[in-house]
Amino acid sequence: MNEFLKINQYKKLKNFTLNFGPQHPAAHGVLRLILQLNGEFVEKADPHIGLLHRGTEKLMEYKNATQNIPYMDRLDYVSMMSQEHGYCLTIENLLNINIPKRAQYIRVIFSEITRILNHLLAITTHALDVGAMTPFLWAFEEREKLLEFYERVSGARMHAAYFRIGGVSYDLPINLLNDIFLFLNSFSSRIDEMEELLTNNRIWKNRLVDIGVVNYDTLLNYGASGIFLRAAGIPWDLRKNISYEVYNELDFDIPLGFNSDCYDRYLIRIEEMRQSIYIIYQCINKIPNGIIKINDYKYTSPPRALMKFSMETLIHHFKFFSTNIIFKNTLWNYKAIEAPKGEFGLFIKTIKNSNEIYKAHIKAPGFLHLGMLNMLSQNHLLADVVTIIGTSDVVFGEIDR
Amino acid sequence: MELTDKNLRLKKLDFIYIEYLIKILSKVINKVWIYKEDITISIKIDKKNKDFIYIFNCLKNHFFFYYKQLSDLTAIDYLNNISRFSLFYNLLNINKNKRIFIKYDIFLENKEFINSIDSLHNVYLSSIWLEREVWDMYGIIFFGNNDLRRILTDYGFKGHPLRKDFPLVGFLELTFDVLTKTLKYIPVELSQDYRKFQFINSWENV
Repeated sequence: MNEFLKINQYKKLKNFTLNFGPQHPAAHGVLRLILQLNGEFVEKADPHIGLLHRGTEKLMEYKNATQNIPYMDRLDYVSMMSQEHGYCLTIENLLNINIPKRAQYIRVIFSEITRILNHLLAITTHALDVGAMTPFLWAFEEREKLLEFYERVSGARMHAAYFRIGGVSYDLPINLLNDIFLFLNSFSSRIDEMEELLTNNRIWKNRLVDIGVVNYDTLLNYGASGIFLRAAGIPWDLRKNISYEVYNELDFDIPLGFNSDCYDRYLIRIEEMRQSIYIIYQCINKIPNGIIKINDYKYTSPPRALMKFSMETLIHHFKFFSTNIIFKNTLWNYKAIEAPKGEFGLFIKTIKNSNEIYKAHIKAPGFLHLGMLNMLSQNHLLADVVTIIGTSDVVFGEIDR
Repeated sequence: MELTDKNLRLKKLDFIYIEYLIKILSKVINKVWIYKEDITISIKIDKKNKDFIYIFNCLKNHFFFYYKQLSDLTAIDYLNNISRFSLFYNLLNINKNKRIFIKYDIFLENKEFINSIDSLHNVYLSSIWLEREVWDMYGIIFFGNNDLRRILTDYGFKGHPLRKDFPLVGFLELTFDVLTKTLKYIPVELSQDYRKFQFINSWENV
C-alpha cells in the first residue's frame, strides 16, 4: 500500500490537448482552436485562422475603385454596409471630395441599421452558445425586417453594394423612412423583451460576470478597439473622436462599462442598439432633400435619363464603366470608421494617373481581438472559452480576409 | 529633412506638434508627409538595431507622444525599387486622439535583407500577430518574434501571396485525385491567361 502511494505521488499529469473547431458551432464559423487543458482549466489557447482566406487584398489590387465595393460586403458578412462605408470614405479622402448632405444622412441611417443588425446577431449567438436559444429566434425575426430595408434600398438582402464613391447608388424609395420609423417604434420594446430574458437571468449572469476581464493597459497593448475599450471605461468611439459624415451634428451617448468583463460588453451592446435607434430617429427628422451623389461624373455614374440628351454624359458613362476613377496623385491614406465590432480601417495606396489601387490593406478589428484570446482565456474553464469567443464577436470573413 | 504638404488645412497647434515631433526624432527622421490629418514619418537607421526599438519605446512612453497602441502594421511591395519593401506602422494615441504612420524602408542587396527588422513584441503585444501576417504575406522576417508561423494561408503553403511577383491565381491548386482518392496539389493551368485591364490616362501628362 505504501509503495502504491509513493508511485502515485511522483506520477506526472500530462496536459490534455483539445482540438476545438473548425466545425464547432460555438467557433462562430471556421476557427480552429488548439487548447491545452490542465484538467478543465485552459493553459494555452492557440487560434488557427485563415480557413476562410480569400485573398481580398490581392484581388483588390487587380480591380478598379468601384469594382472593389462588393468585396467589402463579403468581409464581415453580418455588418455589410459599415465596411462599404469605410472603403468609400478612404477613397473619397484620397480623391478629396465631399459628398452631399442627403447622402451623408442616408449613410448614417444605414450604418446604424447595420450596427443593430450586427449586435442582434452578436448577442443572440453568444446567448445560443451559452445555452439560451429563444433570444436567437426572436432576434432573427427582427434581423429579417432590417434586411428587408436593405433589400428595398439596394435590391440585395445582404451584400448590398449600396454605398458608392461620392454618395450612394440610388435615392431612398418612397415610404421607406416611414417604415423604418414604424419599425423602430416597435423595436425598442423587442430589445426590452430580449433583456427580460437575459439581463437578470441567473444562468446568463453566472456564465458572464467576471469572465474575460482585461485591464486598460493590456487592451491598448493588444490593439483592441470598439466595445472592448468601452467596456474598460475608455470613452473611445470614432463616431465622436474622428467625427465622420454627420455624426457631429447628432446627439448620442457612448455607453461605458467599468468591470471590463463579458457581462459589461453585453450591456454595452444592448445600450448601443438603443443609441442607434435614437440616432436613426434624429436622421429621419433631419434628412434634407437633394442629390444623393456628387455631380462630378468623373467619380460617379451619370443618370441614365441625362445620357439620352447629352453627348458628354454618354462619354462620361463610357469612361466611368471602362476606366473608372483615375487617381491624380501618388498617395496613401488610412481612414477608419467605428464598425459594430470596432475600428475598421482601410489603408490604400494609389498611383498617379492610374485607375489602379496599388496596395490595399484591411484593418479588421476582429483580427486583433482574436489575438487576445490566449491572454483572455488564461486559467479559465473550458466552457468560458466559448463565452469569450462569443463576446469578442468574431466573424471570419473579416479576420481571414 | 523636408516637409511636403498636400492639401494642407492644419490647425496651428498641429504644426507645433509636428515641429516638436521632428525635434525629438531629428536623428532618425528622413522625410515627413502630411495629408489632411495624417502624419507619415519616414525613419532611417544606420545599422544599429537597438535604435529601432528605441524609437518605438520613445513614441510609446514619452509623455509628449504616448502612442500606446499599435493598431495596424502593413507593408508595400515596390518590385523594382532598391528598397523593395516599406513597412507602415500605424500608431494611435487614444488620449490626444492622434494617429501617426511610421514608414520604414527595407533595402535589398543580392536578394538578402541588409538592415534587419526587429520585432516590436517587447513594446507592443499586438505586433506579434501583425508581424505574423506581414511575414506570411510578404516574407519579411522580424527578428525576435518567436511565433512566425503562417497565419492566413494554408498549412504548408509556399510563397508569399501579396508580393507583386506572385500571380493572382497562385502556383498550385488543390484537387481531388480520383485514382488515388486523395487530395493533391497540382500546378495551376488556365486555358486563358488572366488579363489585367490597366488604363493609364495619357491625357493627364500633356
